[in-house]
Amino acid sequence: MAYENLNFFKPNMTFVDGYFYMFEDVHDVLLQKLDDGSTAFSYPLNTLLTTANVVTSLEHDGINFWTMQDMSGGVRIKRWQIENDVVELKETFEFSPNFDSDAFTVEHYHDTLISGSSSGATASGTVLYLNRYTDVVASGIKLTLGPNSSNQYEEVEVSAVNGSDIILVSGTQNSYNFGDTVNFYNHLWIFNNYSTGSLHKVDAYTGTNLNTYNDVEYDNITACTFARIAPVSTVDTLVYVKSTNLKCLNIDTLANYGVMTIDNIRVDNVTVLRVYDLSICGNNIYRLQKAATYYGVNYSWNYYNYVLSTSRRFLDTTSLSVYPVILPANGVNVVEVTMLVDDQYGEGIYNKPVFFTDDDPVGFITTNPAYTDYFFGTGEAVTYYKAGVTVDTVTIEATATQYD
Amino acid sequence: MATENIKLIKTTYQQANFTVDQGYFYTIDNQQDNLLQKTDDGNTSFSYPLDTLLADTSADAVRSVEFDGVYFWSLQNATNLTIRRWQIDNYVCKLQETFEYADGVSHTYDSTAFSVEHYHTELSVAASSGAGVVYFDSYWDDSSLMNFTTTSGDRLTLHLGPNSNGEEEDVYVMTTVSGGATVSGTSGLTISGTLQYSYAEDDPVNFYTYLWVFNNYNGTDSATGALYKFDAYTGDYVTKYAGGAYSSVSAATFYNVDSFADYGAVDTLAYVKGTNTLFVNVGSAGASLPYYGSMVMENIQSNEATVIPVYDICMDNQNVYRLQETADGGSSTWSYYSYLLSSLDSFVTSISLAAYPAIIAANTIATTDIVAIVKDQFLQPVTSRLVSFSDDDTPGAITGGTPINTDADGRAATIYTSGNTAREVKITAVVAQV
Repeated sequence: MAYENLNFFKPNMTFVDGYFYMFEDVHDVLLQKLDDGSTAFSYPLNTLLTTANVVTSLEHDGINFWTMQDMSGGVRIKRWQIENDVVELKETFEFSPNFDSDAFTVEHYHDTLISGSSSGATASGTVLYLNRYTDVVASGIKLTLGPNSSNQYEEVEVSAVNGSDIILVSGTQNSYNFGDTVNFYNHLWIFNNYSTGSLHKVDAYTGTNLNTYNDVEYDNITACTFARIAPVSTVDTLVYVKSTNLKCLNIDTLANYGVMTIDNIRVDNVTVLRVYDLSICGNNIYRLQKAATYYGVNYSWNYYNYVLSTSRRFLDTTSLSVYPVILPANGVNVVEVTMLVDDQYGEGIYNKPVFFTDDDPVGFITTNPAYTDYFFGTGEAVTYYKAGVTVDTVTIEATATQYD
Repeated sequence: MATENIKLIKTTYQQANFTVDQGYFYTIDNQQDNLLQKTDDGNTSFSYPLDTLLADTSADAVRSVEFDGVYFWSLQNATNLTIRRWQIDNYVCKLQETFEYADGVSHTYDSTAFSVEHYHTELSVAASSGAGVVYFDSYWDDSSLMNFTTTSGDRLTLHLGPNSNGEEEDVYVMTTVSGGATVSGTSGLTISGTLQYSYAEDDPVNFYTYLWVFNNYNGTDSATGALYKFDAYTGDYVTKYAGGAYSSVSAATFYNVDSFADYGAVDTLAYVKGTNTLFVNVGSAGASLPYYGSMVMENIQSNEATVIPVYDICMDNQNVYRLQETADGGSSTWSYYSYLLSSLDSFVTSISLAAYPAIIAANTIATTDIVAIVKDQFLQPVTSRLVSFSDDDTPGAITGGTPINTDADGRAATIYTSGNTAREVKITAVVAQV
């Protein structure tokens, strides 16, 4: 069938460094797949999954893989890590009763050192300096340092944060230089369908529920992830699919940075297609689905495949209006023609050319092309049509093009 | 069918086992009570009757066979797990030893994969009859091997020969010396403390140490598996290593593999898990066993979802032979088992191709970065190989150059410039194995 790619047979997926990953409970392996579905590699799980409890959501925080499975009365979230060609289970958290979830993610951050760290500094009080996320780091968080120039990694625990000083419980075993990578995670975010819906903020180290945000908005969420994207400005955001919208949540205020429309809907514009999992890399948004709509045609698949969206602003909808819509056919009168061009976030496109045409042999568009609003983001491109001399219905067409 | 070759009988797992030696494939048939020597095309080149009959049921079928250079070892997963050691002697396959493992309070056994840890070297100096010292090319400086002691207290046994007269014998390692070991005759041989026969330089020296059994139980716990280590001389339990990765393993072997740059040639226990073969460092101390590496194979159906079972595995030179009932990439099963090949030589195995961004405007101006990552079967980057990019759109085109060489990370990048029709554009990257 057309447009198939991954052919995943389990409803979980994450994308890391050019490869798609899936936890498979039949052979108990983590599969590393290519875009066309072929297997690049596989890693045996050293702790077996229960086939009855398929992994329903998969996340990657830069170091660890996180899985969610159903269990009696709730869900089970596990943290895994590839070690020596095998996937080792590192942690298991169980959430029950009153948990019914299809989607979760782990709040995670990727940073770099802005100073070096020497090896062998085993005494407590070793200080690290991060480039961007010092204000997110807190006592008890474990930072994964590396790789360094020798391809070494290590995990260190934060004792305290004092201004820009990140003080470690102990020193580092290896040496790290300016610019070496630092990864860490802090919270799990779980969408709970129980009752009328809620979003749980959980300590990712202890599994302790820190906050519950009850809102029907968080009901029936089937896919989410945590990513650094640019819906408005570049932000770290909890991204989740709600119906045909992809929402970017500010985890501090629970307001939306932005909401973008996605095309997970049948041609009938009624039937919403389920998104089973979600992964974001750069501007690319990968939605795991069993059906999709491409260029006005419905497709259904036997297996799960990814469907693409983009987080960068892209011309998405246009709306053409004319004021007034009736004018004399005298070759003199003019009407104002307004083309409204929005992106997938429902916001006006800035300064993009719009080309207008009409089908009257005498009437004509006075300014062509017209550009969408440059200053206020209204997305409006305004021009004028001067009437012809024959009484008729005139069709005006406008074409907006994405040029970047 | 075209891809069938050795055609081993599937019914009731009658010949669901094989091993390879010097171009011949061997299988033990529990219904014919024969060790069959087959050629690549399925013809039986020879057969050796078993001097001890096996029961004919599917439960008693031999599910794995291993060859250690001297002996054939078989595994049966019936009421008891049974491992037998056989040797071809005077045109008959004679049973040398039987180890039976019954379920008990501490252990439940369910296994279809095992191997014997075995080593091969050659005499570095000719040894005359009556000599008390033999010198061989390798392993003499491996104290953990040379100091091997069975659970009954016996020292490591070396199998010398055959010599030019077809003579061979077993000797104990007593102490090691530089470049070799002092030996004495095993009990039951007529020699006492010295070699019975003379051997030339380069005559073979073989020895084995442990049996490694992939059990679907860790003790009596079926929630995970375990790799069991048994003394190959006494059959006694030595230890076990728990791990889900050891569960549901259907094929394993032991071989000297030279595919890992960081280690050189290593003697490793290899087993199939899903679509990968993993190479265990059995010589490592500690509570768990590390891996030298892992290798992806192609035992997956055309739907890229269904893993094709591997019933047995063996290696010869750089060839990996997998016993299967379905061809790689196929979906229908054969009437017989045949082998499929993998290679221990590094080969281009996968090309990850991604576009950043993956959605661009169809305006003949917008561009996207196309990144290909080329890896071999060990997931190591394939460097300095030309990757050719192409697309199926007109006037869309690859404008960033093609072909492009892979870098140290196996990456090759180019640029695609869009066409003028909104559609899914297929970009293809091709790299040649040189």
